[in-house]
Amino acid sequence: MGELDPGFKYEVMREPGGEQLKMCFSCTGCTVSCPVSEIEPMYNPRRYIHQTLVGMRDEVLGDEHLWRCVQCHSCYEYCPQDVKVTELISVLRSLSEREAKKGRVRIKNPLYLFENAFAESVRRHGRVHESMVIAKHIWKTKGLKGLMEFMPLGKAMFFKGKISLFAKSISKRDQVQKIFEIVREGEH
Amino acid sequence: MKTYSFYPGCFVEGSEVEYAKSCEKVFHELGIGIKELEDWNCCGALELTTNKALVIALSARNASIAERMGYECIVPCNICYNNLRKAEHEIKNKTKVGEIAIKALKEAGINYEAKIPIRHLLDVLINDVGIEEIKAHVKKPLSGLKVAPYYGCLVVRPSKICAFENPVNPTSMDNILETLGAEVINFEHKVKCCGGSTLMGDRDTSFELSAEILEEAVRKGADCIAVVCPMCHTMLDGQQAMIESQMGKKFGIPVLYLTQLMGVAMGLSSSDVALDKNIVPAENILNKISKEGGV
Repeated sequence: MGELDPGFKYEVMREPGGEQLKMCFSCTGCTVSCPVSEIEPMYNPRRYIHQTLVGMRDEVLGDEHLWRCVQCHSCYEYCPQDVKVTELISVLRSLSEREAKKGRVRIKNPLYLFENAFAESVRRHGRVHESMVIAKHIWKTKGLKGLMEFMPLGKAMFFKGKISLFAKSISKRDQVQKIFEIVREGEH
Repeated sequence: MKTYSFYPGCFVEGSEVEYAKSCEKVFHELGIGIKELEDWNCCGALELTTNKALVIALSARNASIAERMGYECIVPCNICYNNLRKAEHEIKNKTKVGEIAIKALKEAGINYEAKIPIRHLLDVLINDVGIEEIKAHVKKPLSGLKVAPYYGCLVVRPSKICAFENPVNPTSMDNILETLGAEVINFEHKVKCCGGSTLMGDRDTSFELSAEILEEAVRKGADCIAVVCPMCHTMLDGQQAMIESQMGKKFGIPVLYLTQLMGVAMGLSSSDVALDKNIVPAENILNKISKEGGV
């Protein structure tokens, strides 16, 4: 076990979405209502909250299962203390990603790579060029086998006119790019 | 005729063309005017989880366009709806993240006061159009068709922010489907997650979650599932064959947008509601509707 970091909870509470952390009174409603915990008990929102409160920074930010949250907001809905658990998990992911960029944590779940590619597509075009971002992601993470697996659906979608080959950019891309720039400037 | 602005979102505009088309046709039938938001952008969906302020600011830009156009905004996607409502909430309440978003919008030359109502399609159908009006438009009741109503997550949760439905047992879609003449299944998974947001990260989990929904619908004898979100639809319809091969099970259940079913009941043609665009063949449901009682 890594050393305890008593400042960790404050680090989390400074982030948008993490403010309510200390309101948790451990009722377990988040975990009980979570459809992912039901399938994979290693993903346990209540445990993350506890670990964060006692300062287990390395354990939490290095936890692979953080990336399993499906954003369904069940935990958010059921929490009687309004901890906004879904957003709290996103804060932990965000801090984990910053650690990964410094080389201190290795994230195996490819979701964050997809999120980065998605964000870049939105930044460039103002909208996401869905089919391209998805195809590139499958190629990057699962290679040719992944693409072959996707072929029957891809083909059906193509012939039904559900795949656009070209990105549709909005005209005021500069506004979207400014938003990205200003919000990202505020990050630590 | 009441007019609304309309924010399709990337998903509906890009691949879920049957939703876009059936929305347009059904609103036309109902005498509702729709104006697409001018130069809208992606709301950030569920893919910018590590930057809440960015999602709020991107979503608020869209809401600001609706505000400028001066029409309440209809959102047909659960995810976009949730994001735009969150943006409205954070900015109205001047939270820290709301202030960051407002600052970014200002720098980009955008003014947003969080005054224009952001409405989910389902909210408008049940609360503005209303059951009586929908009933008056039914020409070919969906008699004999068993439908599982699947709402998904983000149209009802968090209820403090989305606030037009019961977060545990919503009934608006049940009521609309009954009005169309369908037999509505008591569907326990109606607000359980399809797992769509993790499809690109942890496919097994997303497949398992979607399979639970498909399984219940098949077990209870549903002829089809009705949805109001492109993410839910992509998982349950588009990915159904892949889920079947992964799980070694056969579901073969069509998944239709509520607006497609409404269109059919209103007497629109299958091409009007783009039944040919669904991945799991959807035209078959027409054979299940009993002819008696219809026009």
